[in-house]
Amino acid sequence: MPAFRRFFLRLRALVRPDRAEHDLSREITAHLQLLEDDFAARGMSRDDARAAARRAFGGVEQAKEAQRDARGFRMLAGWPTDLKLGVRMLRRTPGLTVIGIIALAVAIGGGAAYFEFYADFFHPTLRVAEANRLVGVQVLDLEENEADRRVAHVFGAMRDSLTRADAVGAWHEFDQNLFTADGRTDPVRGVAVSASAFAIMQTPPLAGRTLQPADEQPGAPAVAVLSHAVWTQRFNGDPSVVGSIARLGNDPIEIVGVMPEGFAFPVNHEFWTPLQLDTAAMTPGAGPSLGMFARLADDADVADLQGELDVLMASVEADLPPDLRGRRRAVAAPYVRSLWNDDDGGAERLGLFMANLFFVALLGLCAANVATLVFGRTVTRESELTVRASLGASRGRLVAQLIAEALVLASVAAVIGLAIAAYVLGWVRIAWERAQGVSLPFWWDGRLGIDTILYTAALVVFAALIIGGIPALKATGPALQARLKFAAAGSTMRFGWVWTTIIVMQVAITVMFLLGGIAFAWSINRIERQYREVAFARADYRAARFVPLPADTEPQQGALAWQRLSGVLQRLEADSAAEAITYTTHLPGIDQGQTWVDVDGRLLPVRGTQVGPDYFTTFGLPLRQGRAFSASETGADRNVAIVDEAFVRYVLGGRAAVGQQIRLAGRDPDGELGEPIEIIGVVGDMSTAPDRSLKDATLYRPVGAALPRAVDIVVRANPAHRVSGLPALGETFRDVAGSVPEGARFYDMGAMDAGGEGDVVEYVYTAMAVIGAVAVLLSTAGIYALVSFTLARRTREIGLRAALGATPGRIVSGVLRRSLTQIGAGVLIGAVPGAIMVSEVANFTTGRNELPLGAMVAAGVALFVLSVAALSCAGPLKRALSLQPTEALRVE
Amino acid sequence: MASEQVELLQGTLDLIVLRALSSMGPLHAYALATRLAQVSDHPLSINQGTLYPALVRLEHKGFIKASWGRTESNREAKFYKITRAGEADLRRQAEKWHRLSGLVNKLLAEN
Repeated sequence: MPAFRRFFLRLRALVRPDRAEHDLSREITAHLQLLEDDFAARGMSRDDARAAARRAFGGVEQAKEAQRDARGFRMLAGWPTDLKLGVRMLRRTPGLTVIGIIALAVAIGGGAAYFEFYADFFHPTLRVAEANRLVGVQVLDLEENEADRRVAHVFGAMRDSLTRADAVGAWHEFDQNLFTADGRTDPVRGVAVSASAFAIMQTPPLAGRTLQPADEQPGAPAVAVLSHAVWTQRFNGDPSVVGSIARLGNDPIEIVGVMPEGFAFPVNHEFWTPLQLDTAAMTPGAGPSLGMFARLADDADVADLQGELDVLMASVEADLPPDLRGRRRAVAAPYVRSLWNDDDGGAERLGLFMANLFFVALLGLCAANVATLVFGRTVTRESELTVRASLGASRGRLVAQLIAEALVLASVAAVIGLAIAAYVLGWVRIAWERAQGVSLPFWWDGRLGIDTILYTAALVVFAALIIGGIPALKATGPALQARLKFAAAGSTMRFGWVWTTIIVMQVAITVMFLLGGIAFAWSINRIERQYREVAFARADYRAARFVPLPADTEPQQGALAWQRLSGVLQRLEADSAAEAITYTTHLPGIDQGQTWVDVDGRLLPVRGTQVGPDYFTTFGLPLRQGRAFSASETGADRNVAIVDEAFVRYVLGGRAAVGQQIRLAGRDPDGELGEPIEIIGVVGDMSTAPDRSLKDATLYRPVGAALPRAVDIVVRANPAHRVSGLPALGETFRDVAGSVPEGARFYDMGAMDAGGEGDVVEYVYTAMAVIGAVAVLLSTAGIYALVSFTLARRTREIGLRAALGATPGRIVSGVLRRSLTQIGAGVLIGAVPGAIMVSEVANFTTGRNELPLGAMVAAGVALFVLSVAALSCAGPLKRALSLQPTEALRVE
Repeated sequence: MASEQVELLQGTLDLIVLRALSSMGPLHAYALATRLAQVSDHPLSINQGTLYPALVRLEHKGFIKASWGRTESNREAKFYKITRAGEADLRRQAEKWHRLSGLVNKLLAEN
């Protein structure tokens, strides 16, 4: 209670300072009057008594200041004035202000962007009405610790009996080709969903209607609702789309509605059809793979629903054998949370959350760097601080003032940082969608939430405490007291070991960051070249992915898969523009399959791919030795392989390949080795990049008896049949896509160009260049501050040396030896691990020892940083050396 | 004899003020300073302005209460009066002080 009373009284004094001030002035005036009366009573004149009273009282302003500190929040008193002074101070030092704002904006922006990213992924705010009532339900296999999605029987029971939820639904997603009237055929990310989804989300359609319960009845007409994106991109925003007929796979479907922009329930879906499911006949494990959701009843919470689900599961499993009961549990959780399968107990999520600490540390580093600049500037304010202290300002007040100035700087940086964060999040969305080909979840809207704004405010305070607090504490410490006590002249502040360490680490981190950036850029570039530089003209090739059977098809239907593949190949061959056709499990120059081979007891990673007939002739790879696969070897499990020249060089060490026996461990290097495989031929390398290595070695196997779940069909078009600059076959591909049998898919059609990853790489390069530039800028500013400070403090010494005849070179080396040593130490500390980092990355990419390359690159970066350091010293040096000795000697 | 400046330990001023108010009744700041100078064996030359932060501290803690009044010479002044909570705190602080000073005296006597 006393603590609350004190807090309340201090708060009142803060809010109503005028009342407290009036009372204090009145009291001190009364006190002085009584003192004056006393002295007058002893025989002094009124004037003398008045003077004596003031002497006896002591400093009136000091007393008032002390009383103000005692009655209010010391640190907060006078903040409005401090903030105004802070703005003024920033205007007076534009260089420091700009550098500080840039550095802090990048660090704060990065921190805010990551925080928002994490929150949007794991704790998003669903911007829908009554979002807290939306839950997801997962059936977990408690023994396997994974979700069981064949739960149609559970869904049926939920739908019929739950009372703690007033709406229940499920969804089953699909990727099918949507054929539109303009002849386009492209897959849509669709979902067969319960009509209750639209009622739960409470989002009215933009046009037409949403799905209704009647649409879910078996035998009801096939209808669909479009997303805004599909409507605008596939139907050109045609307002008459409602009621029109499109084709989904092989089946006609009526468009009955269009949803507004941003609606993508349950995750990132764009096409909705009714979930027609007869759950009454479903047994455990039967039916499609389902996700389930529900809306809590008005008076229920998740725990209530969970209790009911536990009872429901017991009744659902009552008919199972006793040893199978209790193995599964239906778990209800807030909707987005339910979509994450925390089979590691949330350790991954915790790890991702802790990554925020990296950005806090980065901000701390940037703030410390800016603090060195502020400290250097504070030297010029020693007189001001001394005068304020002598007038009664406590150390706390002085520190508060400097922190207020830092708060202004950090706040401006935060505003810019938030703009950066918003931009970065927008870029992440675009990059993700281009790279993955699908949208982000619907709750990811890229807007900065209130949590992120508050987190950013906390970062601002953290940065301000470092930028303002540390220099302030140093500037108002014992040295200031000494100046007050002994009227000491000259500056008493110096760059101690703390600042020295910061500057050295700053230079070291700049060097390491530059080297890291170079290593990263080099590896990205090399990987890009591996994709780009291939031995065939991409523009002449068109590919598509073919899935002959649904994912849950039994293996016995392998013959049907081959039959369907043959049908597709025949349709394609019929096009006169098709010059050559083949198929493979991994498209060259786009996809990399990896496998481990055992050669003479050594396990090595190489590219591994299964190919159809005519693969090498289709891509124009010359046969160097041996023979190609025969027709009988395709579709049969034959232990034969063909390798490329890179394989011969880097795996076999250049010896004769044909007839060699090798064994495969598959994708896992710890996997069991298979039967020996004979190399029957050698072909030319698919990659034409000049610095090929083990990473480029490729092993080709014929497709075995069991056709893989998906194959990429490749057709080389006759260049003479180009249509408007594009290869022909487009219409044939669309026709094939539209005619594949039920359950098969023919999609992802297009020319074999590199994907949209180019934009992603460009953005990454840009981000790295920005951060690298900020790091170099901070280092330059820090070195400039250090050198300026050192030269300013030793101006008299420079004057003395010059007067005694020392050359400029001797003066510089003598005065700046320590500073140059610090810079050199920073470069060395950064260059050594940086060189190792570069060589390791290069080694990983090329498979060779790249230590000399790493050392060379590190030397180059070190030279660059030293040059930048030399340039930043130039200004202060020129100023110091241009002073006449007589002027320098007059400096205090 | 020249008066000696005695540096007060932080916190003891509060104790001294409470004691003065307890024994003397309501006093204003000038009277407090005068009283302290009168009763101390080694005159405490307290800078009179330093009483103010101590008074506001004690007031915030609820150990003293302030009200405006008139002095004997009909001058207005702010009078401070110790409260019951102040009396209790005075007893606690005095006991602590006696224990501490007794221990220090014992240690000094041994040497």
